[in-house]
Amino acid sequence: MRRAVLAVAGLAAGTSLLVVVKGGAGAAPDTVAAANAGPTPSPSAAGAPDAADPSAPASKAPDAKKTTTAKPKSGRKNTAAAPPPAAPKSNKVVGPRVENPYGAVQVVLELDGNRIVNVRTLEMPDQEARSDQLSAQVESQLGDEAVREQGADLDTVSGATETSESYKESLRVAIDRMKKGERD
Amino acid sequence: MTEFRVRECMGTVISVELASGGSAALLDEVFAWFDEVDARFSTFKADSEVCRLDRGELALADASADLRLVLDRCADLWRETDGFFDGYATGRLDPSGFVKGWSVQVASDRLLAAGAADHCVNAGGDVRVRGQSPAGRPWRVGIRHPWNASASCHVVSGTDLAIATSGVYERGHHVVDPHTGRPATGLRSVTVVGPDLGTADAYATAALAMGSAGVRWLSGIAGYACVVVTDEGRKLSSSALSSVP
Repeated sequence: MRRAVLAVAGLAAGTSLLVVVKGGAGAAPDTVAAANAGPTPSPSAAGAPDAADPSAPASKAPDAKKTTTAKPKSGRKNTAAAPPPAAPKSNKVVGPRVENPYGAVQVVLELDGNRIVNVRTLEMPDQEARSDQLSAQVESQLGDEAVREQGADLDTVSGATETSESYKESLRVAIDRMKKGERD
Repeated sequence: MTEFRVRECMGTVISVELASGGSAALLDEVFAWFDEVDARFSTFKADSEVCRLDRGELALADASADLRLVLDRCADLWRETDGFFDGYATGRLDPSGFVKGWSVQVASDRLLAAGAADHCVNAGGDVRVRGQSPAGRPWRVGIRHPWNASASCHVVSGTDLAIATSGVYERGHHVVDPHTGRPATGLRSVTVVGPDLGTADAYATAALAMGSAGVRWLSGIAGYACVVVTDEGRKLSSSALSSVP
């Protein structure tokens, strides 16, 4: 661990443009917890109570969500969002779990009113073994200079997303449900 | 009046927010552009121009101006990145790593020209912002936390920014170093910020494929800044991009 940290520190020191941002004292446990627990809704991003997140534990996803396809009828033509729902119950919509040869994909839309501020992918059971391995690695190497959670009042989020057909399918259904005013 | 629309297109979710100077007709035009890009560049649609060119059914000379421009830029970026950005990385023509960012950049340029000076376009995490948010302040863009999909680990704020992120958090280390054929390791997430989104997108992909060496490579590029999270959970960021409170 020490070697890895020193190597990274050396790299940063050698490039004057870069600074290593040190996490606060309480940062490491948060990050470790997040790594161990998998995708967990963050208090900063989710204002509403979170009663039924199918990501935890992932293996207990409701059977109803396991259907592979539930194609929306409207398709491309109806691009305008439906009128805003009167009183959204929560701030997220979960797409169906869609199988592919490498595992399965399920997306969650996180909303601010009727705006999508983030799209995330739930980790699926097939990937659990690898996730555990990565988490252990992360945990053993975390120091004080850990990446930590931050950010409020965000207008949008930049991140990497999947481009597989199963991702598209889950996403399509989730957006369709969002436009109908459904929330999970 | 703020105009906002979100739709699935190009294999991802695209949202467009116009904080001023917008109209439903303008949103129609923007999404018509993304549909055009999808039809032309999709690697999933057998009749797309990219697929027809790849199968040899279309001569380069007969390709559209957009496709030729994209191929030229991909060739430039291949050289600029020492081959780490490769439009043929998957064994066939697949310029997706550039097209998504480029198409958003074009959409943003057109919005600006049409008088919508304050806008935010986000296509699957590739973001282009200009002007101010509906709250009357610079746009605030979070960078996804690599180990918590619903949290951010950094905030970038500005009135004229292109922000692209490549990461391996969703499928583990699947980005292959084109020179060794082995998965690149060392970096978990790379965000590149600068003036052009197609370029930022390609740089982020390339740096991720370089692994740890990508941090040094990125720091030598003029006009672009970065936020990198390593496999060890460390965050390295350009001084120009100190996280906004």
